[in-house]
Amino acid sequence: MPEEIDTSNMSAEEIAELQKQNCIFCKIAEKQIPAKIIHEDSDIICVLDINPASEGHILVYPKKHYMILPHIPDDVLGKLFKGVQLMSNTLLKTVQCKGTTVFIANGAAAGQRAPHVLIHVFPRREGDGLVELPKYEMNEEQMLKLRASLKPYLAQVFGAPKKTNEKVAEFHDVKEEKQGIHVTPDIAPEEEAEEKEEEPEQEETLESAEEPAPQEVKKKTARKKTAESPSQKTILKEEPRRPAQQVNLDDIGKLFGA
Amino acid sequence: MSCEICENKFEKNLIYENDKIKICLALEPATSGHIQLFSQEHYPILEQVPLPLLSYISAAANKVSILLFEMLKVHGTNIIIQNGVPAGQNVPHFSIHIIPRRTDDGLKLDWDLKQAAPDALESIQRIITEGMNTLEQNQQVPTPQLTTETAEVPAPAEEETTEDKEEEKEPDHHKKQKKRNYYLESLERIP
Repeated sequence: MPEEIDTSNMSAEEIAELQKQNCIFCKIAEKQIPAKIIHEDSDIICVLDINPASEGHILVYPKKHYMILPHIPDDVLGKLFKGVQLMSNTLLKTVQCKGTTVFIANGAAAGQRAPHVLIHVFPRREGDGLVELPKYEMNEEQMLKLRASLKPYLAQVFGAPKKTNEKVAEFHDVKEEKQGIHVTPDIAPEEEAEEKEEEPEQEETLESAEEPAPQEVKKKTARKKTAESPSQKTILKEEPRRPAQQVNLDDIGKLFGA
Repeated sequence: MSCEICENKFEKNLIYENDKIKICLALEPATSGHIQLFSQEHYPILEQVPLPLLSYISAAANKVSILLFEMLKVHGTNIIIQNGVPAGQNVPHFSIHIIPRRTDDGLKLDWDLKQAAPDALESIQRIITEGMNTLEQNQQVPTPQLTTETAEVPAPAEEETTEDKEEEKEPDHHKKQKKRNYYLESLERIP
C-alpha cells in the first residue's frame, strides 16, 4: 500500500510513473511480491486472486503496466485472451465447476479497483449467485435510437458490413420509417438521439478529440448507410477503417473519473 | 443443430455483422446500450473458439467498449463472458457482453471482497498447476463437453483434495478498501 503522497503539484506523466512504481500487480509480475502464479509467458501472467469470488479465481493481466483497457494494443489483448482461454479450460478440467466467467471491469464506475488492467476468470457453480445480470426493459424506440447512433460508427471501425446484411438493413430502415423517425433527411435519427443523450459540455470533450468532428462523420456515414444504391455501396467499401488509435484516450480517461 | 444466433432469429437486435462477428443489442439487456458480440461461426463455448478469431473478437470488444464511451457517454464498461449455463450463458453460442456502466446505475455485478486463507490458495494453486501439467502431457484430452443445454462437464480432476471440497469461498474483502481511490483521483487530474 503506497503511503500518502501529495500529487497536487505533479504532472500527469509523473503521476502515471508513480502509479507504475506503486502498482502491486507490476511488482507481482516482477516477482518483488510473492503470489500464486499459475502460468506466465513474456507478456502475460496468470495468478490466483487473493480475494477470490470463487475458489480458483484467476487474474490474467499484462506484465506491462496498462491503466485502462483502451490503452492495450490489439496484439497484447489477443495474448491476454489466449491466456484467458487457457485458464478457463484449465479451470473446467481441474476444479469442480460447470462453467466459468470472464470479467473485466473497465473504469471505476464498472468496479475497477486497481490502476492495472486485470481480467478475472473464475469458476462458476450452479446457484452461486455471482455476476447476475439484471434485466433492463427497453422499448422499441430506445432500441431504434441506440442502433441508429451506433450503426454508422461500427461500420467505420470494423469496415463495411457483410453483404448479406443488406436485407437486414432494409428491414431496419423500413421499420425506422414506420416509427415516424424519418430517414430521408439522412442524419435525422442520429441527431435526434444525440440531442437527447448528450449534454453540451460533453460535446465539447468530443470535439477536442483528435478526430473529425462527430457531427460531420455522422452526416457522411449516415448518408452512405441509408442509401442502398450500388454506386454508393462501393464508396462505403473504400472508406478507410478508423484506426483505434484515433480515439483520444485522455478523453476516455476523463470519463472514468466523471 | 439449430442455433438461434446462426439462424438470425434476432434480426431486430442486429446492428452490424461482417464475416467474423455479429454485433447485437443484447438479447436480455442489463443496462441501456448493452451490446452482445457473437462469433459469426458457431462455437458453443469459449474453449472452442480458435485463437486467431478470439484475438479478433477481443480487440473488437475493446473497440465496441471505446465506442460506448464516446457515443453514449458512459462512465465505464463491463466486458463479460458467461461460459456455460451455470455462468448465465443464455444462448448456446459463444458471445461477449459489453455492458455500459454509469456511476449512479446502482448495479452490482462484482463480488464482495474477502481475503482467502493462504493455505487455501496454496492448495488450489497446486491442484490447478498439477492439472495443467497433466493436461499438457496428454494433449489429446478433448475439450470439455460443456454443451450449453446440459452444462455437463466431464468428471473433474481425480485429485480432489479435501481443500477442494471445502465449501465455496465467500467473496471477500479487499484489504485496501479505502475510500480514497488512487486510480480515480489521478485520472481526474489528467488534463
